[in-house]
Parts: sequence; structure tokens; C-alpha cells
Amino acid sequence: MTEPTHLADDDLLRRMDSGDEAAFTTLYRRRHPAVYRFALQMSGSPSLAEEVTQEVFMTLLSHRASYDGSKGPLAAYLYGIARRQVWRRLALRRRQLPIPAPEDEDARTPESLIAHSQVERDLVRDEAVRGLRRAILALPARYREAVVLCDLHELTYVDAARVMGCAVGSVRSRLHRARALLSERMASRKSSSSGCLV
Amino acid sequence: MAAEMAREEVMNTAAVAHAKTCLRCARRLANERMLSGIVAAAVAEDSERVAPPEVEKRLIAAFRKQLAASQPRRRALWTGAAVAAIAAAVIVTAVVSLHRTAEPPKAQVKPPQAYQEPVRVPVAVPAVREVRKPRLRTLRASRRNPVGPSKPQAMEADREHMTEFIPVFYDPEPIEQGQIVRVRLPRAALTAFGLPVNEEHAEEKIRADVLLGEDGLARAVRFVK
Repeated sequence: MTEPTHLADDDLLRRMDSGDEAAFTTLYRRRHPAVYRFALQMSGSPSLAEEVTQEVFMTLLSHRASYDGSKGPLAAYLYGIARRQVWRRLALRRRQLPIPAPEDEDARTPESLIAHSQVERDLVRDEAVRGLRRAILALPARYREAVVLCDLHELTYVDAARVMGCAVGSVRSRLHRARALLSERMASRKSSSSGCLV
Repeated sequence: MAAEMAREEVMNTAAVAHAKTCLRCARRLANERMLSGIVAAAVAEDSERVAPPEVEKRLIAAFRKQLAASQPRRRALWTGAAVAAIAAAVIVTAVVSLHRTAEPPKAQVKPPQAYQEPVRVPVAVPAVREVRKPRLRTLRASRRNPVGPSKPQAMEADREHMTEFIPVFYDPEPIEQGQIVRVRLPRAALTAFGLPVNEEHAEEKIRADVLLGEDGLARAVRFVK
């Protein structure tokens, strides 16, 4: 019998349907990091990301029939559920992530997005990554998801368009605008940091 | 796809070449490169991030619960399907039976009375020439009569040679319905209807069909050979 880890997603789903717990576990371990990271990068909240991850796979369990393999890969389907869950939760929390002011940036950086294990790395680089995260969280949601999906998750424009439910052209334009905003903010942050040092 | 990549490559080369001469674009390009580097670093950092193990435990518990719940449901589904199949079979059987019962009794006739008591046929009938034939309508009516001879009997009757129905004289009213009764009469009865009789066989019995009206009176007779 084939090991579940070697099976494709659709084969794992079929096994899952017949009650194979190992297949479900394999599928979860294979696909959940992307879902979790997407929710975390979109919200900056580990608790929200945890809720979303759980909800996405609960949806897969309870509404198994809603996934149609002919319409796209499972990963895109899971991203789609995660996206809806994130948007819904963000709307429920009514929490607008503020654009951090340069002086209190570090204080506003979500703790979960700070890599504590990177102390030995280049401090400048580490600081830059933290700055990028803050800048991403400060982007308008539509631009933010374009950057998260295309740059951080390295999805193709086509796959991102499928997840976002828009045209490929819209993905391109949102991503272009998002990158411009990020670049602008990162540059201004860099110059203000340089100013401080001086 | 390859064409698009080639086009992008050409544009990148052109942009880099342009940035060498344009300070503003050179700054933008530098910013873009810086951003790309930071994004790559962020991606590398995030690759280690996973959901807490509690999520997996909760999901596996949910999977087991759902599986446990679906098994009786599957059993109930099969049971339901079996009950439905049996019920359908019973209904079909009942409908077929009812349909058969409701059909008009095609061959349900009175049992053939091959040897009924001889009917008293008036023998004091004038000669055959004076006898008028029963109305066609009457005969048809008698043939339509559901209590006529059964099909096998009718086939047998077809093979028989028989005279026309000879009406008895006292027939006052035409009949709408009648009943044919097969009887045996003395051959001598033929003479009463003006038919020739072999004197040597005068004592023998001869078969005859008597047409009876609704009132039970004989209306006509035919002789069967």
C-alpha cells in the first residue's frame, strides 16, 4: 500500500473520504503551513491565523463536496477559504491595522512576526524584514493580499487571480501599486533611520 | 509563456540601461532591489512558521467524530434504501394485482351448460317459411353478451354446423340481451320447425342452442350438427 506522504492531494482526499485518518493528517501537514502563514501575514495575529487554519480544514471536512478538482488545485481552494475567513474575521474585529509612525514602529510590530531566533543574523537585515512586515500590514487589504500571495507565497498571477476572484490584470496592477507603496515606505523608513543614526 | 519571459528580460535590460543615465530611475531600481531582497528574507523566515500542534489535534478529533457520526448514517442509509426497495416492490405488486382485478372479465362467462335440462320449446310452431328471423340487433346483442359462450367454446361452436336461429312464434318484443343455452332435444323436434327428419333416427337426441330472453322465455332455436 502506498504511503500517504507520496500521494497526490486528490488521492489523499479520496482516502480521507473512506475514513483514512493518516491521509487527512498527511494532507493537513502538507497544506496547513501555507494557510497559516497566509492568515498570519494578512492579519498579523497568530490567534486569528490559528482560528482560520482550523476553520479552513474543518470546512474541508464538513463540506468536502464543495471542492471540485477540475476547477483548480486543492491549494488554491484552501487559499480561497482562508481568504474569506480572514476577511470575515478582520471585518468582525473591525480592527484597522494602523500605519505605524516611524518613531514607534518597533513597538507596533506584531510579536509573532519577529524572528527571535535570528539574533545572530545581520541586525540591519532583521530590522528590514520587521519593517517590511509592518509595511505590508499597513497596506490596504486588496494590495496586501496581492503582495502576500504573489511575493511571499510565490503564487503565479493566474493562481493568485483564482484565489482573489479577480482578473489576472487586476492582480498585476494591485501588485504593482502595492510594491510601489512598500518600496516608498521602506525607503522613507531607511532614510529616517539613517537620519536618526546621524 | 517563453515569449513573455523573453519580453520581460528585454524590458529589464532596457530599464537597467536607462537607470544608468537617470538618477530618479536609478533610485527606484535600487529600492526595488532592496525590497526584493527583504521579501526573500521574509519568505525564508516564514518558511518555518506552522500552526500550533493543538490545531492538528483538534482537527483529528473532529475527523474522528465525523467518521463515527457518518458510519451509523451510512448504515441507516443502506437500511433505508433496502426498506424503500421492499416497499417499492410491494407497491408494484399491489398495483399489478389491482389492475388485473379491475380489468373487465373477458372470459368470465357462465360455465357452459352443456347438458341443461331440455327447455320446453313450443313445437306448435308454423312452418319455417312463416317464421321471421330475429332482428339482427338482437343477435348482435346476444353475441355481445358477456355471459355468452367462453372463447374455447366459441371456437368449438365455429367448427360446428348449425342452422340459423329460428324464432319461436310467440316472440312479442325484440330482446336487447339474451342467453344461449345448449340443450338436447329429440330429433323429432326438427319437424316442429319445418325441418326434415330421418324417421330412423327420430328417437335420437340432437343438440340445439336456445336463445332465451331476459324474461327466461325461449325466443329462438338453432340446431347443431
